[in-house]
Amino acid sequence: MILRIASKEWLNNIVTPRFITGFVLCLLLIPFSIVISINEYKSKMNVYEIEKAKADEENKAKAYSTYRPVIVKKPTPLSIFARGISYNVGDRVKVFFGDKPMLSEGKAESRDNPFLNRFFTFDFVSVLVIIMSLMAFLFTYDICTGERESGTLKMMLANPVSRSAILMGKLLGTFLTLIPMLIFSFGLCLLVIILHKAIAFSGPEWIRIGVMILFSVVFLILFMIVGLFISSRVRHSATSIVICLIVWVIFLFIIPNLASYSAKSFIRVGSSENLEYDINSIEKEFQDKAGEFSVKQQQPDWSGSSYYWGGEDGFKLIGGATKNFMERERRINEYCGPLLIQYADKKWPFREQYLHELEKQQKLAKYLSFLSPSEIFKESASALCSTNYESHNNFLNQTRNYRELLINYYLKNHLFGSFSYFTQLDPGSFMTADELINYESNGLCKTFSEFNTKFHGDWQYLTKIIPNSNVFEWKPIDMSGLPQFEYRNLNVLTDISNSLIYIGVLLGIGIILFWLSFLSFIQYDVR
Amino acid sequence: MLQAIDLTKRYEDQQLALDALNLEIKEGEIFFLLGANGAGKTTTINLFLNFIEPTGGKALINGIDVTREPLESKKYVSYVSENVMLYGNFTARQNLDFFAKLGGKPNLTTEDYYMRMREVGLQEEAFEKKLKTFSKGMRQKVGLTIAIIKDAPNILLDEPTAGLDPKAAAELLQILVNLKRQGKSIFMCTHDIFRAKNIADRVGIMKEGRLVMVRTREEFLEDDLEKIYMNYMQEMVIEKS
Amino acid sequence: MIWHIAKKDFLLNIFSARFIIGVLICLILVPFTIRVSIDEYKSQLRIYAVDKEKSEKEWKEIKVYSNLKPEIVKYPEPLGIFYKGINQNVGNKVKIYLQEYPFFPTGHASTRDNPLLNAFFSLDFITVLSIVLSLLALVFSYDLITREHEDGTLKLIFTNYNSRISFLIGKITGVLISLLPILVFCFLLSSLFIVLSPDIKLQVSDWMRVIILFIFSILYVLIFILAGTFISAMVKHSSTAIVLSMLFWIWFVFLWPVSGSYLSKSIVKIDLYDNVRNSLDDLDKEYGKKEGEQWDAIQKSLNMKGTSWWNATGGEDGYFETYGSPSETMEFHRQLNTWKEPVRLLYADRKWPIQKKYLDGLIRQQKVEQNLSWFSPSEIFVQAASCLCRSSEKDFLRYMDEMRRYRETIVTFLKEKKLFEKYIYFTP
Repeated sequence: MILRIASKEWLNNIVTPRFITGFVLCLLLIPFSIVISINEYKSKMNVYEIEKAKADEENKAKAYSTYRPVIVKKPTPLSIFARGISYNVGDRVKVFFGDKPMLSEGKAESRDNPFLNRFFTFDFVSVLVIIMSLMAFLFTYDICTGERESGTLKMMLANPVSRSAILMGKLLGTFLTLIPMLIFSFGLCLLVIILHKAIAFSGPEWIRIGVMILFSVVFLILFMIVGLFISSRVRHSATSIVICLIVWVIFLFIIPNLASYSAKSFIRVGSSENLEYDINSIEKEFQDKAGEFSVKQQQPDWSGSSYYWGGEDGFKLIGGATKNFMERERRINEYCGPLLIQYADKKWPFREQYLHELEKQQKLAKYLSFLSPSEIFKESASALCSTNYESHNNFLNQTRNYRELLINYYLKNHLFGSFSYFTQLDPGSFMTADELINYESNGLCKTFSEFNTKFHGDWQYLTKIIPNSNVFEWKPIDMSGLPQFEYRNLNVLTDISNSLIYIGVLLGIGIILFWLSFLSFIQYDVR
Repeated sequence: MLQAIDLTKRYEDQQLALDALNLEIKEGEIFFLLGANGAGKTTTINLFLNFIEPTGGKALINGIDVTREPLESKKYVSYVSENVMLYGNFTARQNLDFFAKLGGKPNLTTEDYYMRMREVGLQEEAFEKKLKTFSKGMRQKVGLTIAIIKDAPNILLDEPTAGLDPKAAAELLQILVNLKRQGKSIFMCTHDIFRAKNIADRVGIMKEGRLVMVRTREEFLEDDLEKIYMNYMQEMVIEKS
Repeated sequence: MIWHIAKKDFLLNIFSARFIIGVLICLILVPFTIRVSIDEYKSQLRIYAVDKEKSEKEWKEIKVYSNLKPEIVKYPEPLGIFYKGINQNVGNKVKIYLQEYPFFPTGHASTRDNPLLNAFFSLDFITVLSIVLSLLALVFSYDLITREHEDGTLKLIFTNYNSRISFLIGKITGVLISLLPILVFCFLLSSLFIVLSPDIKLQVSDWMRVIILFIFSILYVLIFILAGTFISAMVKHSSTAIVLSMLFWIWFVFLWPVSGSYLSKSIVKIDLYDNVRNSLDDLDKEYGKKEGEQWDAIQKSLNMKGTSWWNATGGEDGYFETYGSPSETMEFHRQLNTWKEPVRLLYADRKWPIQKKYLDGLIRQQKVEQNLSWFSPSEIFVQAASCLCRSSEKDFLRYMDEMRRYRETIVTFLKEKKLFEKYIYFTP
């Protein structure tokens, strides 16, 4: 009986203009959105290549003090389906010793053109959601009211058919009408992707896509049930369609935008300028302490060095200085290196606080937007595609852990207190001031005091340069023995189980609404 | 057989739509229910079909209480509604096929459908045309076919001749006579006093929810049915002379 | 007759569910939006105050001409409460450097606030209005004709002495005056909020612009009413009409503007910003090499074996200050600056074509998008609003041009007074 009603429903639906409209909409909008997404992915890959090349150059270090690796995250091709926040956040993290990574840098998209900034994404999932929810409503808004208005509901009920059978039959028939559109959409999408040849998905990625298709079926059913519910509560199709369309607009356009906006206004985030101020005062404290220590150290015999290159975060390269000088520098590094790390830990609570506030805002926006089932589905899709906040946070945590690993390696191998921390010269080759003066003046001066008194400390007498003391000409040393960063993507099962909660919520809402619709339909006035 | 025993329906706003209706329609009997608009005729049919719940009394179809065993009772009744719209995108045959299967007759062939449609006087070329192209009369005929093909012992009709031209109305009534001869109970709500005289076995007049008068065929052939009807509408009681 | 029909429609509409819902939606959204916009504006004012103080302090502490790098902080545009436009995407301060023409402003921009949020847009007054008003206009006019047809009243009306035109005008006027109270309410409420906030100063000319904005809004509503009426006249049933109206709304208010921006990005291909930055950096490196060579050359010519400094500080863009360094070093720097600064200016001129090409590309993209936007009434409305609220792209470009001209005046000043060759350039 249910099957009979379902097949009647299906046959009735496919000859209506709305069925053709659905396919036409899919045909127009889906390829358009996929092509745009692919182009965006390609440009993001281009930026990634540039950044990776730059990072590889930067990561070539001449000494351990200059090794502060830059980590660049490769964009995932799954972002074509669901963009998530992957286009808002940067993909670059530099590992500093003096500071823990808070957020990534290098936002690609909005640097591009500040003129063009829109409030609407155009990724595949967004377009799918628009089309499928609209179609779901267009086919279910008159599920009850239409039969009532045409009198056929009475005629069906004059037969030994239960109301629940009629309801299930109609729902099944409508579902079978809408499923071809969903399959068509995904089919078109995959066709365009395959034709493009630029994108290749791995096995686990195909599993994710498959799960996304299943989730979108749940999404479709949910919107059908919403339409059913509205139809079962009103008497006229005209009322039903207006309510359905207003609900559609609210779910798809108003709630998502309002959610982020409300979150921004309800949760105040301290300004980043304030944060920088706090960080800078801690940095100043560090500089002061480091300065204190340096001052306490005995002055070297001769502070002149042929080459000295200093920079931030402990960057130091020295060549051609006296043994005394080098030893002093070594002692300073030995003290300042761990101190730097200590102060990084002191800065971290401030950064964590700021990050926490950003997260709170983001979470509130997310939960507010969950008032709309389409947003729940989009969140589950971006969880599957590893483009949601949790995925990015996972990446940031991995960079922080890597920093810990690297620091521990430095500490364990006493790299801060080693000469190779800041020079490529062999410590055995270091000379005293006298020896150095003798060498550099090519025997002209024998001692340092002679140089100062007889030759007035005039540099033109120092003609000979210690071999390989030019720091700028040093070749990068091999860092492959150090811990390297490997990005471990969350595995498929974890992501799927993370996104299951969203689908669970959708199913829950669907079941409740279906139950309510069922009750309404049992009482539905058929006259 | 159709029975109404003290059948009452009072709405939430205290409006009394049907007041203790007592009625019995036997096999092979045609019963016409006359009355003004809003008198309660359609309410009676709705109660029999369990579209609404009675607030008192009960309705029985072939002895089965329609509220206690609705699905069982519906096996024994056919229904022709006032405005037959059906599924506009389906052809006449497709509509017939769907409702026949719903009514418990899954094994009929296309030829069976065609035969039935011919019986009601539908033109051949209309069989495979979409219902939205049909005129009102043609749609009524399809509705009637749907009721007939179910072959149920009781038939309820709600204003079936409203808006039909005289020829179509006459055809329809002739079909009802044939069905009556097959032993079916036929209950019809109508305004059509004139045809009542031709084919009804009994006539009832409903006023403001009460069945105020029932006359058999012999009885109302003697009196002028129209006069009786009009008089009842003006609250005058005329005794049988 | 027109007035008669209009009045009938107005009375019918006022008590309808859609009017009440429309008023409720506006009652919720508009104050919310305005409040958030005002809060944002206030925080912009605060940031402006802080930045201005900082730059003024720095200005007062300048002791040498090589530190003459003014930082211009832009006063936040009060009309931005109505429509933020481009001002939300760009920073609020511009620092004038010799080594480069001012390209884009730096500093605080509200879109960079929380990168974790998926919001990459703004909900300001005009945006909300453009969405809500168009929706309301369509919801009130989609069944203008179909409803009368379905109720059978259309036939009744035309049994009287009525021309179709007057009927149509009457109906449209009726819808317009039904929606007018909502519009007036929105504008009055937001103006009230602004007036009640003490920090926000709007001049008379600004209020004039607000009034013009109001008139534009009326026109905007009218366009959508006409669209809805057209749809209503073309179809037979109200349910078809509303579906078509909704599709129309989605397409013109949401999808077409986005498609426009994507289409313009694909029609006008410009280089990635990173590539532009790379080319500029390459030119900087080239200059750096030359400076190194010049450094050595001057040292040789002065017979210096090395440089030593006393009390020296340096910074970006050629800032260098020193007191009490040996006379050799001073002479060295003077000669270096004489060569260095004009060459740096030359390099800035060389960098400018690259920057200009990129900017031109952006402008071309933006022009294409503008042309495409003529197809969508909501885009036209938003463009008009952005011009009125001084937050359009043209305003931004004009501002940056001003910055560049200002840089020119500074450069001319430095050149005319031959300050590069003087000691004052780097020592008081």
